[in-house]
Amino acid sequence: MSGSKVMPQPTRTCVNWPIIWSISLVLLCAPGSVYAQPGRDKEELSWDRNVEPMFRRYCYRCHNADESSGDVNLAQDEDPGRILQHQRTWSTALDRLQSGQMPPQDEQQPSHDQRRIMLAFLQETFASRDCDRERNPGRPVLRRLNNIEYDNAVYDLTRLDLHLGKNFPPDPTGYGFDNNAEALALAPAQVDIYYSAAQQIVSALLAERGKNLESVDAIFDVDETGLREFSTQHGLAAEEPPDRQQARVALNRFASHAFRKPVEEFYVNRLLQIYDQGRQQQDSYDVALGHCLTAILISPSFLLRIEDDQPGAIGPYGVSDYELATRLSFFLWSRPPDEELLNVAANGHLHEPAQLRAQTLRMLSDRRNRALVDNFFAQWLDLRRLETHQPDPAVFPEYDAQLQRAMRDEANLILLEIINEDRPLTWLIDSDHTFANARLVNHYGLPPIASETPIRVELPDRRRGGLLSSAALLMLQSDPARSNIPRRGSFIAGQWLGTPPPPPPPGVPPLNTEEQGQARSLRESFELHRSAPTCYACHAKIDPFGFSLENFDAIGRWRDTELGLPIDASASMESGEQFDGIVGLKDYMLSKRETVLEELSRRLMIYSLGRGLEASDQCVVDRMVQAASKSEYRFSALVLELVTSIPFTYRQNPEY
Amino acid sequence: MEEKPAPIPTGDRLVARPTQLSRRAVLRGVGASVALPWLELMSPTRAWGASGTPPVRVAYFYVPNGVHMPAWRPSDQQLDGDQLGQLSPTLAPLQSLSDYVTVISNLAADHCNGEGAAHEPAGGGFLVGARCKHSEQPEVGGKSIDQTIAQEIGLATPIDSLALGIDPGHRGDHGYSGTYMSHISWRSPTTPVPLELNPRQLYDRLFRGKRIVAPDWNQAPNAQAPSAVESVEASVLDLVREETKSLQRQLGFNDRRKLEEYLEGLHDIERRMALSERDSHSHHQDAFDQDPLQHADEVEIPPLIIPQGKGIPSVYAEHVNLMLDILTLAFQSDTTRVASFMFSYEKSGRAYREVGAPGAHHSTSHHLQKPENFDQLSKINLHHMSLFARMLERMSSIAEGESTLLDNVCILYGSGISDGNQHNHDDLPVLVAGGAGGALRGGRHLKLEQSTPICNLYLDMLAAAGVQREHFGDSTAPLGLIHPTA
Repeated sequence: MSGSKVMPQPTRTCVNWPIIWSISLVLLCAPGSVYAQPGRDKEELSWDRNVEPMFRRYCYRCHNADESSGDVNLAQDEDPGRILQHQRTWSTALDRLQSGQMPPQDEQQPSHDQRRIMLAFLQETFASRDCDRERNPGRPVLRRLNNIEYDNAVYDLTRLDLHLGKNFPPDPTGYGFDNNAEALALAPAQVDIYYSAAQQIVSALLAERGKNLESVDAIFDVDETGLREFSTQHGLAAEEPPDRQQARVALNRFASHAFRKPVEEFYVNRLLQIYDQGRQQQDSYDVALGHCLTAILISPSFLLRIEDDQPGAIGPYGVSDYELATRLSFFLWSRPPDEELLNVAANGHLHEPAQLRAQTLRMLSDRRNRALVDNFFAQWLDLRRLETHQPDPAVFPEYDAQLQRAMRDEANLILLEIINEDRPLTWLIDSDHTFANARLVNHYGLPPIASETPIRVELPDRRRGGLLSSAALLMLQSDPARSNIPRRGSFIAGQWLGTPPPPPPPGVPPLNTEEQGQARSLRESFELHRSAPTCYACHAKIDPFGFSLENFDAIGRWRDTELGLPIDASASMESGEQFDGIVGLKDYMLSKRETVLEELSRRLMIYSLGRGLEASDQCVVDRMVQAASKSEYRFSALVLELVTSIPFTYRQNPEY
Repeated sequence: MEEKPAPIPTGDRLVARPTQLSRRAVLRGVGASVALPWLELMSPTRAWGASGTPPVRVAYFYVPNGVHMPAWRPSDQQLDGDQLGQLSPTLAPLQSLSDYVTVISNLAADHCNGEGAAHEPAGGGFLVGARCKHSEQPEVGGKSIDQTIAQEIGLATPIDSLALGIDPGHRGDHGYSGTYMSHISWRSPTTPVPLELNPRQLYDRLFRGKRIVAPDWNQAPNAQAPSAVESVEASVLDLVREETKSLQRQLGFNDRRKLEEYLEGLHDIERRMALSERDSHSHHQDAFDQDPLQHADEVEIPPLIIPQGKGIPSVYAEHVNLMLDILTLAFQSDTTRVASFMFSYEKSGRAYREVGAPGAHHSTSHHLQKPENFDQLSKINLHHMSLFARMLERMSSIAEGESTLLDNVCILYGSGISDGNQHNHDDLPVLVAGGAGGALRGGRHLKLEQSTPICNLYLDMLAAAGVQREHFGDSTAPLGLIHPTA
């Protein structure tokens, strides 16, 4: 990958507003970016002499530590290096400056030439990040298995559907995901829960023992071949009693599987002491082995994803193949590596780009990729709430569990198709077909079909197709009884375009647009906005999206009127851009597809690494977007770029 | 409610009707070995003296999105002093218990303020008394008040504390982690106490395989230390500890801390095992097994109906009642002395159709002064209060020697937000219930100076729990609610 310049995309000007200021400030604050200071040789672009005074005059007066309008503090970045660290914030500043949205009309304006210099400086500064030399893997993190990963890991070990993790305390979230390393704390009560779960797992195994369940027996039993292989590889002492030899092999196998890497002999020996203790108190072989399994199942090496440091290493180093296998498999499958992946790791080939790509593609097309839908996409797009969202039955008596399932199936199948068949990610925004059953086509007012199970349905027009106009998504961003314009708008601005509105200032009630199905009240609301500039500033940025979706009610059904009045779904952005209804919104979003892709890439990276992004991670995000753009926006392009990146394949020692 | 024993006033103290003895074991798994947990814990920090007086148990109940204050505020301006008169509509369910209730007006939680967000720091900061970090990686300003108390008195019980809830929570907003909204109990700035939502799992963790027994508070506790355990289970934990320690040496500072918590968890399990080990040899145990009269101390298990399947009742009120029944049982059996409970997470959009509030709670809480929103909010607030009152009533029917469980609890009920539309963190809705072992006199409405720090109340609760502390968060001085009896 060569010289990716971090330039703001031209398409992002004008209408792109408030970036996740707050998030970005938190995110992008790690040092270590490689940059060359621009403008040293050119007087005009000299920060100290020329540029900084301009920013001070036109920007810092409102965006400083004390005032920080819109939650943005620009004044804290006193040199170009800091600007690079806070690039997301500054690239929004660039957008605003370029589109003329900033400084605000009623403030002092820079001259045309000054504006040009400020823009040129920022563009040069961003371009100065040398992504070719960027080798910062980011801070190392220690990740606990979350409840879903735990259940999957236990299933892979035992092949028993116990689902104990489902009832564990809910995993704390960070950055909108439940697999964030810092958020997933390990409080003592959690250990107690793991302990009790381990005992339940072992009891279940012992209960299933001898019932001809191959998967269970395979944990306890070791045949001649197993013994011989072990003996060849590790050696077996002839004087060790046969049952102990068998226990040794069984424990070595189970522990290696559980720890996702070969275990050391001394650990197995320690386990065998427990085995001996059990045998001495007259426990059977199975029961004695069971004690050891409990120890493995509450071991930090099982419950945590521990990566080894390289003592003395100064810079970044590639993670071991086993560690890479674990990273890859928890990213794509939310579960431990399977046998094939472990074998590639054992042979020491996984870090080779060709092998890594091949394994990634294999895993992306395996049905276990469903985890990406359930855990990545469903959290990014807030679809997990489908289970608990309750539309008001007084208003929507027709809503029931079948409809809920049909909605969920549609969303899942749209996503699965994109992953399984490697279809363009733009299909999230718009598509000429969807997946529906009889119930859902009825809900959508499409020609009837008979199928109870969802099937592919070609669409007569662009009002449906893609997730943006799916009932699931539209319903979840509504209130129980009515659509919610600002919420839908804020969702699109935040989750899809990466520009959530800043929070409402304290004491100012959020605009109540809940009853704006009527053209009259819609106008009224704009009047209200204008009368209260504090509201207007933000709502003008989110409400247009919500307005354009007003043809969908709170369960995502199409409507032309509300309360007898025609729906006005026209929307105009601050920039002057206008669009009408869902079709207009889709066109608008398609014109912003690189922005959507960038936001998706950023979230995918956060999800895969289990940490917030650092400034240097922007290089990877940019490459992901470029790679996807070059390959018709295929999901695999995004993923391949990510899993071969430095942050995904390297680590550095933590600070002791 | 099953049986609702009316408290009988005798003098200024309520004595419960004698508990009906019942060996009804409604739950499977009740009845194997027994814990008499209080017997063995003779740690010097224990909160009660050799007299065997029941200890004070503390709890913190949280309601999200503020409350409709006009329906909450007691209208007792005409009354003398701090007498709590006719209760306001929201507080009405507490009427029969009002001698055990102190409503406190004008408390403020400055630490619930946050840069550009109202709900996140309100939940996360409420019990901490310091501001939350503006971050997607949750970090509160310290240890919460319940955990501060648990650290002091938690060693005396098998479980140091409980953090219970109903709803799992939601993603965060505006650069704040969602964890802030779903967790009010924090062991450390970065470690929230896991929130237990599932009644079956909670019950199993606390009581599975044990006969649930209430301590005989008239007996002086036995002062023997727990003996070391030499079982296979102990060896298992030994091995894991060794392993954890050796891993710890290789890790960076933050991760070492994570494993520190892990070691503490292992230690807790061992302690509990040591307790039950000793139990089985105690003469009390033998007596229980042999002398039917001794069954007087066996806890009458409430009819806990834990649904099949996931173990979570589908009706909100039933879920709350079940969790609170288990909490009551945990207090009664002295399994723990510290708890927190969240009626839902902060900013919750739960719809309470069953009580005529079909709107999403959070949306409704932005009431815009509309009467229909006020009406729905009042109904939600009343619903929560009724469930709380039901628990207090149950506690009032559980005898502990001469007193009742309600006499020996000190429970805060409140929110980090006052008006859900304004998101203001002063004029908070707060009340304290229970007798705190005779140290807390109820039937009062405390009208404090505007914006008195809620941490002042936490100082009182620390005192009630027998924990010596002069400051907590932004406290200035205790409210002086607690008057230990001689």
